[in-house]
Amino acid sequence: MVEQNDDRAFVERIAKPLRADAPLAADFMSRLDAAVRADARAARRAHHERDATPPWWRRRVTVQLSLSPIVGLALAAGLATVAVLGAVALRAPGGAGAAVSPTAPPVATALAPVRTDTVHIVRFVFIAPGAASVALVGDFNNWQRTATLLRHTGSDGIWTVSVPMSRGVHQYAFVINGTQWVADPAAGTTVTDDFGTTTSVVTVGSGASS
Amino acid sequence: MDLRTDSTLIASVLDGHVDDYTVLVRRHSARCTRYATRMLGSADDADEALQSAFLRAYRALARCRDRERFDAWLMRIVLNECRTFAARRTRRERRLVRDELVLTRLVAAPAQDEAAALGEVQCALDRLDASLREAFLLKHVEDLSYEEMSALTGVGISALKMRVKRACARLRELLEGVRTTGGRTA
Repeated sequence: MVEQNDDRAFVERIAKPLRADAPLAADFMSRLDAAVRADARAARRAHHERDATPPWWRRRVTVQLSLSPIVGLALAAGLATVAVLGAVALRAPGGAGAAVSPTAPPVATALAPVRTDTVHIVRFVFIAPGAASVALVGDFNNWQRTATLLRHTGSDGIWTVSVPMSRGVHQYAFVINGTQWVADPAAGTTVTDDFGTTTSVVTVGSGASS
Repeated sequence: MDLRTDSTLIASVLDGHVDDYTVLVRRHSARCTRYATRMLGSADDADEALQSAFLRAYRALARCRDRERFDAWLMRIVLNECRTFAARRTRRERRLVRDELVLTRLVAAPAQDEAAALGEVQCALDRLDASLREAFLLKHVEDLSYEEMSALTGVGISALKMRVKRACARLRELLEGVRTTGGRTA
């Protein structure tokens, strides 16, 4: 007991000076403000450049819409240059629902050679009975919670949205009712970033480098 | 005083009102600054690490999952930035020379006032492994529970307890060893 008290007293003695405030430099916030503004300007410029690029439906692109690998195969037989729509199956949070398409892996698979100008339409499905809204956030929409809202299909709390995506590896998650962030429990790959946020990974297009 | 919640400020920043970001950071900067300064042992290094951490947080703000827990999210970014900064710091030799000088001075003159006490403890703290220093600061300076520490660092609770214990033992060895020697010298 004496030893424990002694330890506590020692820790308290050395922790006390360390708990004192450590002031920031007087110009710290103005430097941070300048850096943030410069970053915001750069982001706006990049955004304008993106806007200046014709939207995908005005570019020469090939888009295939299909709902299952079997249908995709049938279509691929007739259309040599099409890519496949990947269906991402998700379960309701807390295991309240079944996967919509458990046989489909959470990866958008290409059945035909992918051209660089191919736009892949990826369908996201989420089961959330009782949700007022479900949003899809990801690196493809700058993680904006209002950019890509899922549509309620009217049955069994199924929400869906189809999103044009470029070939590559993308991170995504769902936001329920504007606040509850949910990674895809059915996704084959999830990652936790430096910020402690867990997201799911979808690979669009065959041979996309990961 | 700005009475808006963190969540409201985040929404405002994401809506393009970048001024609100410094309001948000200022609100939570005290703990981040204290931690970075103690962890890195230098106000200049802390300044650099914090600028980098806060800018990274700005860029990732849309990915802040629980906006009402922005403080914990920001602290995690600061902690990671300090880890990275400490790992790549190449001034170790210079710091050790400085530490030796301070320790020598302490032998002759144990800390008399608060600033000197802080310098003495910081000097010993700098000599700990980064993982021990991190655990000690979070537990005994930031006063976090082991559960909070685990969530923040991604390290298991039992490993954290062991690190805190080892940090305390090493600090005692460094500080009381110095004092004993000083007493004998005096």
